[in-house]
Amino acid sequence: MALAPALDASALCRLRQLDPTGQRGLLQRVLSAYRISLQRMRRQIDAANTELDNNELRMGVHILKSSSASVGALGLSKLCAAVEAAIRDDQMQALPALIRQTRDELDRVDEAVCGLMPN
Amino acid sequence: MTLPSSFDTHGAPERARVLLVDDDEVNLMLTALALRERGFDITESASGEQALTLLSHWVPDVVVLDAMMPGLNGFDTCLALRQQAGFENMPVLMLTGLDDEASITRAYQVGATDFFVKSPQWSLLAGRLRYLLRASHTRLELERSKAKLARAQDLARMGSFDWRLPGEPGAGGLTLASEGLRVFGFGPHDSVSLRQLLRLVPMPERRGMVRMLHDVLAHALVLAIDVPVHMSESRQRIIHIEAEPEFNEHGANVGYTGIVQDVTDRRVAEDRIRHLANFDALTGLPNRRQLIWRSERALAHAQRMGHEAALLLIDLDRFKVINDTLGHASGDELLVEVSRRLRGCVRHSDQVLDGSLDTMGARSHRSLEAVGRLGGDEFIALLPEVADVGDAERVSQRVLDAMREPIFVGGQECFVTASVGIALYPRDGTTVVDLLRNSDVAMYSVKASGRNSSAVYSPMLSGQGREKLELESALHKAIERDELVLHYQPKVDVRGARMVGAEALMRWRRGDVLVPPADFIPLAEETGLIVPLSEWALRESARQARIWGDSFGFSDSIAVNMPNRLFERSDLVEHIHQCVTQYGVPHRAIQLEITETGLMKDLHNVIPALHRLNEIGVEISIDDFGTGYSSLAYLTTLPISELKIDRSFVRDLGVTPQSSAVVTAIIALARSLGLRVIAEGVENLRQMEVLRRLGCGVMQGFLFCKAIPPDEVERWLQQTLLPRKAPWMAHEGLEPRPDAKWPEGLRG
Repeated sequence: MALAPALDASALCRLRQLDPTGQRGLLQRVLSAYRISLQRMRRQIDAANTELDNNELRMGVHILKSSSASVGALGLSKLCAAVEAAIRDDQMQALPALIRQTRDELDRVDEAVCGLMPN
Repeated sequence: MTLPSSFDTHGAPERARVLLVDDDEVNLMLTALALRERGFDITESASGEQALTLLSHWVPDVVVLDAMMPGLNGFDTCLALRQQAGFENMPVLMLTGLDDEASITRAYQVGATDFFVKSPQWSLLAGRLRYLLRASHTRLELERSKAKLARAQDLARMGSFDWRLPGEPGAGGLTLASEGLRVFGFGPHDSVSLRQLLRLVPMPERRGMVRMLHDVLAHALVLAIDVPVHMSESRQRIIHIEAEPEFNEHGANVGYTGIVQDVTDRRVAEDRIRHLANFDALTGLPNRRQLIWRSERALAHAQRMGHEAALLLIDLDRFKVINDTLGHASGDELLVEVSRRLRGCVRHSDQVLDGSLDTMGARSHRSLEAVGRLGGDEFIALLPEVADVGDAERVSQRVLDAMREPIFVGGQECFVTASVGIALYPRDGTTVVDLLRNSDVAMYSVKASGRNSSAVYSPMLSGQGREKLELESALHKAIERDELVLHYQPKVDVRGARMVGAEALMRWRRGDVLVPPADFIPLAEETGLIVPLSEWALRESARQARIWGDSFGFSDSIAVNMPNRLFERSDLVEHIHQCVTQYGVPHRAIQLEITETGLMKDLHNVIPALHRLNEIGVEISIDDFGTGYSSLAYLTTLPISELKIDRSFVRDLGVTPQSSAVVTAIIALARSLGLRVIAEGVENLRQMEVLRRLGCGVMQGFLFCKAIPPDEVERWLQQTLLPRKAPWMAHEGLEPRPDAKWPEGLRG
């Protein structure tokens, strides 16, 4: 099965429309902030693996879920939603696999974001 | 409601101020940007804590809160916000995740206005915000409107209530709005049941009200009543309750919704108006309107039950004199005291009556009994039920007795009497108008026969009244119909058997009857017709003087009797002037006779006219002299020419020594004042002789000639006086002159 692009083109297009001329450097500012969120998430996942602090994790995925949707990382957003739902619904057996998938998708999105950054 | 533009809040800030709270920088940045693009004024906050700090000194139009935030999350922030003063109604939109039902529920629990599922579709968010703002604006308007309504209701002492019938869903019994609670004297947070409210209504009314409520409920009627309510020991208020039934979808009555209003002030004013409309302001007695109303009811009842009723018309005797001499204030004081006494003469009821008697029980007509004031010094006693005329007479006797004690007004004791006329239903009339008229007739008969008594109406009295009325009406027309005539009685100087003047005496030729003066002059005096009558007599006398002047060289004067009220007319001199000028006779052709009593009664008003008349040559003779109480001091200064000895002294001349003493004195007085003296009513030779002996030579009376029509006067002159054919002339020692020539011989 061919992987969907990490960032949805139409979502990116919508973002660009908010700053059509690019004068305000909106896309760069948004993506920079998003990268910080991604890195924070990655650290959180790595830490949660050891300490299993699900509440922290739930908060993390909740935030990343909506910001991912905003920048067009729809796959990551869905995975975050799944992790959030698993924790909320106390389905701990499904959690490790979901976390792993999220971690992978996170890297993929980060790479794509990096590709959109000027340097 | 349309507000004036300055109050119109639709022109709220064009860019609504939004506080956007989200811990995720990406979301915050994008949402803020998107909303700014759509015309909102965005203030960003990255946490709940920061947002609360901001709100402590600034108020946005709407707050958008992310539900899930580290630290103070959206729910806790919302809770804290709602507890701050001024933020109770602030629109708060909670951003939640999709499928997060728990968050949605929680959002409402903590007081969020609405929720919104986070989504990058910002136009949806903008739409929702606009809706929230509009709803908030509407809500604000509603709050203001409610506040205004509450204020208005407060001013109108009014409040709404809602009453759910037992057994209905959500049956809460009675719910009074805070304004409604205040109407009954409760605080805004008091809870009051219908039973509690009913207990505030005093007992007889409460029973009636409960009965009425049952009835209203049973038929789902509209409720509209005024009930007295005891708020506290001292405060009784009248509460107006008005409510309409409410029906469910099956058409069943589920309760009532309505208003309560304190209408005490209005009721007090209405009572006052009713009282003013029905009671006399001075005496507090029922007035004419109320009396007539009561009388009509009493007659209706009497008719239904077949019993008698009575109207007593009470008129104070000579009240005008008291009013004129002591002044109106004292007159009023007297009326108040009289009213107080009259009230005690019947079972007086002060109740204002204008409802139906039928609801008041069988003996209710007794409450109609009252004394009322018709106006002026006229009172009415209404006796709704009398066994016979004796009952009414007993009450009238009580009235007369009540007046016996003197009344102290204006610093002095007054003795007041009354004349009472009684009319009985149905004997003397079946309508109030008839009874009033007939009691009036009876009352006048008392006045006519000396006052201070009472009389029961009889048709005979009414006959007299009608006769009088007819006479009055006919007299009015007598002048224009030429029915009045003057007869003349010559004044004779017995020493030379000469006519030295004549007195004009009025007669009324009514059809074939010649009405004597005694039958119409008093009526003319009473009605004021005496004025035109006297004016006519003056003109007619002037005309006669001219005719006689032409006929036999008459150059003396014709005496016309003048009531003193004519002397008060400023145009009397002018009128006489016109009369004599019209017929080309001198002013002295007219002489005026005024009675001594009339002159003295009104001396001050009469004197100026006497002087003016005297100046133009019209002589004044004092009639009936000796019967009045002349002030001799005045007599010396009055411009009079002649004293006329009253016929009563003349009649007794030669019979009682006193009368000749009086006549002697009058003649002496006249002589010393330089006045002529004439005796009237001379009927026999004895009287003539005594008068001659006492020094009075000019006389008038049947002995010489009675009052006769003017043409007969000429004949009398021609056939009796001139040829000296009468017995008195022989007695006087005058030789008959059968050859004396007419009219030259008159002057011889």
